[in-house]
Amino acid sequence: MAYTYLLKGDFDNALKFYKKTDELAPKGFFTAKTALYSLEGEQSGKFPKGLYAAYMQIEWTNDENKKLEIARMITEKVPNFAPAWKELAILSNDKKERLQAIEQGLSKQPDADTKGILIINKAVILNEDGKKEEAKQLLGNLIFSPDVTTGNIELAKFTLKSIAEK
Amino acid sequence: MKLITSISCLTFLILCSCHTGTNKTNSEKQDIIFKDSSGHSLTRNDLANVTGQINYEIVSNQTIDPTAKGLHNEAIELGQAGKYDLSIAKLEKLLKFSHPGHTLLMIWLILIY
Repeated sequence: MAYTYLLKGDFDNALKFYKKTDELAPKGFFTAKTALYSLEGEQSGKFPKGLYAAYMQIEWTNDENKKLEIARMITEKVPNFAPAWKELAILSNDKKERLQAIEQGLSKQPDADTKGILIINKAVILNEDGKKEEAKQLLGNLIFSPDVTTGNIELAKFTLKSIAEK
Repeated sequence: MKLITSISCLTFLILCSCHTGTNKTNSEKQDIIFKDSSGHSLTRNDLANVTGQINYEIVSNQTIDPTAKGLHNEAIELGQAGKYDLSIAKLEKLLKFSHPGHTLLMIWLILIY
């Protein structure tokens, strides 16, 4: 219902049902954490109305350049919106830009799901730069952190396994 | 003589057990991938079957009622066709649908979709 209300442009009802989902699945369920962070921010005036729907365009388009363009545009227009920094960190091919996006995203009080993805991506870059132990430490700390989401535990473990095997 | 033999055997057994213990500890230490100051640790064994993907269906082992599943599929199709009000009506009907097979996973899916 949350997603359908979002598509309909009824953001208040979308928020209501994302909240219910989050209450029933506190360790995260699909996009619920990020949706809640975004729509609550829109309701409180922290973010402009319709931002989350605009952000979702990244997922809805198949064009990689378009995805990157939308992510960049949102980070420029709403720099406090952490999920757009996360997308930029994933989509950019420039390691320096990726790392900067990760640090920006982490400094914007991200939701638990976005935070986890940012940390996992940071660990991947650290490992690429030969900082294997630092990368393992980041992932291990994420896995045992109290606010980690179920999805991120699995992804962090998989990344840790891949790093440890090399 | 018997006493000396017994002491020798005992010493040998103790030495053997110490040696095995040291090997085991070393092997466990080598196996640890992560350890923190709170005592959390992860070994290669813990990560052996990790795929990085989560299948939410394993959250519930109950079978989803076919009528509920049908309603959910209809709601998805209507949503994909842009008929949001009709889709929401189906989802609301689903939420009121009471059946033992109406699992927590199903409720999560209704709420988030």
